[in-house]
Amino acid sequence: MSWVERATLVQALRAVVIWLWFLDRQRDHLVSGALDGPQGLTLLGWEMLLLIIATVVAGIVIQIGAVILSTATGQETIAGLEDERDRLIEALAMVKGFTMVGFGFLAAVLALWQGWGAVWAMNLLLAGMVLSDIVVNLLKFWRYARGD
Amino acid sequence: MPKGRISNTIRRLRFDAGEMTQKDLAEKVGVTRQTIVAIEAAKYSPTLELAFQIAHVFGRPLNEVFQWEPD
Repeated sequence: MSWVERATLVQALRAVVIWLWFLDRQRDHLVSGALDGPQGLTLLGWEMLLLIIATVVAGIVIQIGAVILSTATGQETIAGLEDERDRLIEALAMVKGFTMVGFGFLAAVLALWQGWGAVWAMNLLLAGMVLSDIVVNLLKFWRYARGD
Repeated sequence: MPKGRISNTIRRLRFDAGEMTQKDLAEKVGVTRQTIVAIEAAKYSPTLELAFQIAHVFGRPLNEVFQWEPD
């Protein structure tokens, strides 16, 4: 497995792990009733901020870790060098990613229409974004692995 | 419009150029080695600019490096 394949696969796993951690926290809040009422949205806002911070920090740490590990094992890396093929692979994956975000938005709107409440709508919107992140990285991994 | 297939003679040209490595070629044209691998295997069609750069490295006209075959 090449450096870039491993890096994109780990980034997909990173999104899954952080989202599961977020969902676990949400479950606790739901059980305790902390997400009920207007205060619930404030708490959800903070939780989403935590999710974003964790995602960004983990992404950077994984990228740096992958470069250090690859360099230490003498494996070729392409850190800092992105060419037209990388940009094409990224763009093709992003198109699918945007579709997932769109589905998340649609699901959130439908949830509001059905009277599910803002907390659920925000969670559906977020789910679309996280799934988009996972799909983008998995598609990139698949294309790199195929040698496109 | 027929889609066709783009083939290339990069492998032979690298051989003729004193067994130039894929890494050397990649560095000369500013892409990753994986991109050269994908181009050589005809799995990725380079942009016109990159195609010209590759042809320039070997000092050959573009049509000697890349060929388009209709389906």
